[in-house]
Amino acid sequence: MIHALTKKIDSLISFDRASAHCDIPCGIYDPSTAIIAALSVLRVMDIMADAASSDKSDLEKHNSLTRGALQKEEEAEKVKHEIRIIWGDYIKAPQIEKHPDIHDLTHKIMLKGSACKQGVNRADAEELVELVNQFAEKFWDTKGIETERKTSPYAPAVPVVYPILP
Amino acid sequence: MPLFGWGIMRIDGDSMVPTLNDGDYVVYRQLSASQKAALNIGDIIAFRYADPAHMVKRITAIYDGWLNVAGDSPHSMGSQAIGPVQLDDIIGIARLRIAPSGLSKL
Repeated sequence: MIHALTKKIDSLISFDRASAHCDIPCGIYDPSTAIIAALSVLRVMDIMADAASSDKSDLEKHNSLTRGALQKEEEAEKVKHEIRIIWGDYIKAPQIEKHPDIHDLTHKIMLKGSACKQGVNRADAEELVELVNQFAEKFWDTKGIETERKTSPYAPAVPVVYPILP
Repeated sequence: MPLFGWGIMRIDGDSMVPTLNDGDYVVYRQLSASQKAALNIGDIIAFRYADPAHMVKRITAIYDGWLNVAGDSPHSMGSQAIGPVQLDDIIGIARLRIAPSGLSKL
């Protein structure tokens, strides 16, 4: 009764809204940031490999490799951060019910992200992209949105997941 | 818009479940500087966040002009995600809940 009355008054004079969302009040979750960061890890590894085999001076090589290592560290951490946010804030009981393996997949991404920080094994970076692709497919599925895999239109030109939006 | 130091806000979201549900209203009391300094852990406050947005959370820690807050829902993120809340940004303390089930004290 009192709630209905308050609601009626609200419709007339519009009370302030107090956000009680679980994260910052935007509700925007999208794995595309993680995909781009994972692609960046792979791309940086390629750039580092090119730099190592180039005939530039030692100083130039060291400079390129140092920059690459720093960038790789940052992008791999970004992958882990973005996935953790979606997993920790967005994924709840209904999504877990639909994709009970989401915890295992998230954990694999954490481990693979760390492997990419520690080393320069291209296979690790390829696998990181693949794991994030799988995460993205599950994420969009929880929203009832189909996905497709298309080759990224830029290096490293590997398949990535895109939502098929109406 | 508060009147005589009291105001009403509508809850938008579920981070305070089960204390406050999406669509509930809270009656809050505006606080003076000294009243803000006397808030306790466990109090539910409304505060400005990314102005003009407002948030409602429960106080989990108090230290030297700052508060840590969190929602009651296990899925709520709280201060580790949104940062500490400054006393100046506090709008008021939630005192009453207006829910479809009726009126209750907070």
